[in-house]
Amino acid sequence: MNWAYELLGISPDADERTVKRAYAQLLRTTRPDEDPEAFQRLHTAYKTALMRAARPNQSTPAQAPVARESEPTATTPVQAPPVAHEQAPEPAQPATPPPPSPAPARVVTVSANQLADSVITSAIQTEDHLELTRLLQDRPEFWSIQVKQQIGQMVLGKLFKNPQPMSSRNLDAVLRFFNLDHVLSGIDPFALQQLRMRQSLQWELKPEHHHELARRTSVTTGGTPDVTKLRRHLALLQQPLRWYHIATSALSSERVKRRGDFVRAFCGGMFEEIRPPLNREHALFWHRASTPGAMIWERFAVNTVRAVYIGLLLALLTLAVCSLLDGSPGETVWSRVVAPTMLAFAGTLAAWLALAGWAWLDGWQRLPESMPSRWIWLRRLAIPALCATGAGFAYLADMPLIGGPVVALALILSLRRWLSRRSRAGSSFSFGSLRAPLWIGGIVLSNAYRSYAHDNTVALDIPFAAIGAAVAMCLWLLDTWRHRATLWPKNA
Amino acid sequence: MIVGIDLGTTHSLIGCYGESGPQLFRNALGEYLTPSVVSMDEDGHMIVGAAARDRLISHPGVTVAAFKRWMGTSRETALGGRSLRAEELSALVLRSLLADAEAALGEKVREAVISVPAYFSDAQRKATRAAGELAGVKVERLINEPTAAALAYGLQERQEGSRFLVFDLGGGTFDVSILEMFEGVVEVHASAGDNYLGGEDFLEILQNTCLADLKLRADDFSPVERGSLRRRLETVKRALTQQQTATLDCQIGKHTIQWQLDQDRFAHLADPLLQRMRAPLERALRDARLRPDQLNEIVLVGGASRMPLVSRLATRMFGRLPLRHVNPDEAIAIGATVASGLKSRNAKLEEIILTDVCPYTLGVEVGQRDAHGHIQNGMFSPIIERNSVVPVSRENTYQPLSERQQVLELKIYQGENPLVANNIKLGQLDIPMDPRLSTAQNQVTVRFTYDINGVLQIEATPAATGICHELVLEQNPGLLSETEIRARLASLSELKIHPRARQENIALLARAERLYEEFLSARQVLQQWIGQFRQTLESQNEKTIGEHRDNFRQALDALEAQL
Repeated sequence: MNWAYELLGISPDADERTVKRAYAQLLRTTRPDEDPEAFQRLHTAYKTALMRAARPNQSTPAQAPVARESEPTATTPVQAPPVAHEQAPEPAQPATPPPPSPAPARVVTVSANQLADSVITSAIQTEDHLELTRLLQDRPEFWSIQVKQQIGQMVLGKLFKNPQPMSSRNLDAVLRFFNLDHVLSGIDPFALQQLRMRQSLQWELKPEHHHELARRTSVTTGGTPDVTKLRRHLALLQQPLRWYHIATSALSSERVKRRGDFVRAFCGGMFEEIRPPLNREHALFWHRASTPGAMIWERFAVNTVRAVYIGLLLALLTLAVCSLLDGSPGETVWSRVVAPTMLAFAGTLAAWLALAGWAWLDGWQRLPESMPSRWIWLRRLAIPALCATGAGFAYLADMPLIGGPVVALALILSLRRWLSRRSRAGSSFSFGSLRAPLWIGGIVLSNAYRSYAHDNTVALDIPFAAIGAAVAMCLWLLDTWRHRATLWPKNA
Repeated sequence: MIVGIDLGTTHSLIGCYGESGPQLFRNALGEYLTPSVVSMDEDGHMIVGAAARDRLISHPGVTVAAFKRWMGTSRETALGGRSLRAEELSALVLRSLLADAEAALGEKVREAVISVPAYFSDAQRKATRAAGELAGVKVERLINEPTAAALAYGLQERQEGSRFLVFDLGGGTFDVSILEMFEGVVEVHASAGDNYLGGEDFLEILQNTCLADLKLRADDFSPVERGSLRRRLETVKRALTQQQTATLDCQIGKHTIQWQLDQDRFAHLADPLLQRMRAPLERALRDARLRPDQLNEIVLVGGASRMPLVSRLATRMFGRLPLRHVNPDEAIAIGATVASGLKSRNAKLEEIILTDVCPYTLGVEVGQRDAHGHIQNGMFSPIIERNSVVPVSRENTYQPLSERQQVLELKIYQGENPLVANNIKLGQLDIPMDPRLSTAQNQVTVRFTYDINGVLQIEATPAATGICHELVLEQNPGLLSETEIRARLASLSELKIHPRARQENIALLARAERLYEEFLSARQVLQQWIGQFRQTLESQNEKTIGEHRDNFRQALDALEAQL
């Protein structure tokens, strides 16, 4: 603060006039077009001193009550001074600004609070935003710039405290009218975005606006918004999730996707804004169940139900075929019909579970290093653990039939992990380009081995498990080295 | 010699700061105001000014007006087999103005200060500079129109320590500036405006209403007839500034136009336009952090501010009557000449120093993680806030949104909306990041420097490397590059403007041709007069021509008064 006074060469208790005179004097030697930096310093000093000079006698102009960084919900002025306005001004006459003197008889005093409430009421009740704008423009109170500024802040503060069902077009009209739709208005854009979403969802959930909602979420039949379909969606989402919802929806893959799409379109990605009467957990279930990519519990549930259906179908087929075929003598009904049926069912389910398990494991291992997850050390050390287990089974427990597949699993996992977690810079090299050489190499190796074994008529004891484990460990080490920065960051 | 130029949407003026203070130059027709209209005649000569404005009606196909509204865009107009940009058309007007100045001064003009609407964007300012270059002068400085008006007003009044609001409604643009004058300092506190709001829009409303009332459509008229209708409506608009009602009673093509308009209805029709003026006024006042009662005066300038409904709007909003001390048409030009005097350090003006503001907010696009961990992109983070005093240099620090980010994309925007999608993108700077560092260590200091001529410089310095990245703004599609300017300058110099000596004759002929188009009843006699005058012109005898010209003018005056 003091540097400003030093620069201007005045005492800290100087009044506005002295500050201005000092500034004007210094400006003659520090011209804005000649020495920009010095001018900038001088101007900052001038502004600082001016603000200080204006403060003691309370003549600072009324600033917008919102500070730029402040919490938007805390913006409402607590004490609203009463605002006077003419009740029926003549249109051709210029409106008088709020009279400072005692109000004449025909002037009605309305508190700012009531005025703000009436603005909110009309914003809720008016359907068309253009009409709302016109309504606001026609109000004589708002010709006074001060009243308009104050009421604008109040209206917004009230809305932040107490969101109302209001279309986003109406909110925009209010913001535009009160000049709050710009970046320096002091309103947090994120909070505003949230308010807009919350209000417009409330508005769209009213039965008379279901048409709008259907259009926005593109719930349509033949291109036109379908309110009946939309209401079915909403009715479903109002109930808590039950197992039969999953059971019925798994019958058609389209249905799950449609519901997920609806949920996402409905809240625009802001799932926190799904509030009662809608059931958020239920809505989130459909969103997750229809998210492609990683193996999530919800998708697993839906797909398991689907696998059960397919298994049942296959079992029925097997049942039909087996009961039609003539069995060889000595076979019981059990071994001829029931066992294959059960086998078909169990096989389908097992295949599905194996596939799901692999997909989960693969997805888990391929997560980017920076992505947080539970048991992160297990995720990092899973491949060495698998390698050790596999090698242990193969050589210590002498069970190569268990050890081999485990090592193979580790090998494939480490390869996929290494390839997909490579940095973007080297992404020209992909797993696809490696697939053909791998196949060819595999075929050549197995042929060589077969011919070698054939010639020598003795099984050659190649330590496949050991080689596999070593390659997997190498790949894992490479990957770990690549991510050393994240594992051991430079910062303390 | 350095001159001051007001390059307006409808009219332009030129002047210089002479021995006796600001001084405007008359054009060849003896008027200060030269209409900003360009036309091309049969032998490829360019016509600028009143004659061209008359030709808007008689030759609408080869005449262009109101091109200032396309400044900074790549729009081109076909004119006699050539396609010309707004810069080139403006350059033609400037050339005509400069010829007037050179005739009055008797010396070559090399430098100019040109006024632009305060709310002109970077692209529009650059286009104006290019127009100056194309006209063959160095544009020493661009001055904001309301600031110019304030200079004119302030110097005239010389009130110490006064704050005032300049309300400038021109032909095509609307500007508001709040200024303070003390101890020889002219300080601009805030500017706001609307680049597409002016007298022309009021005329448009009159035209639409008139056609709607008479159950006609614009397509029912040929371009010639439409131009004629517009000119008459302009008269109606002007008449309404003086009297309560104005009537239009004429024959255009095969349509009889009988229409009456009173002030109340006009005020009602113009209400949407007046409502649009409220926002800039409020914004300027708020940015200046002033209450309406802290303003000493409201000053109206610009031709369109003569409309009573405009001064009524000002009265309603500020609770007091606005002032119109200075001639609203000339105020900006006088201010521009004062600015040119300041630039050349005229001895009389030595004690006046002007500080101006940057009318737009400049900043970068940012994203942010909200309370639920979602990333919200596309938000606008201001670095230089609008109405900061220029030259200004501000910095802000930003950091990458996610760990291990390799590049930080710094997108530069200009505008007022909290969402960048609604603002104008000026350019982009990609800054490489060290992915091994944390986001906090990878923070970048971005410095914006905006100089007195409205040139923006961007520097970004990552804390980790300390290497400064400077931005070279991308070529805006609406702007001409240096080489393009040189090429266009060559092709533009082929276009000849009629010499000043002949301009009076041309203006008279153009006027007669306009009357020929407008008044069916007088066509025969006009045709005869035009033929006779052309014959006299061919004789090339200055004396005869002069005599005939005077007679011809009187005859036309009488005819127009009679009709």
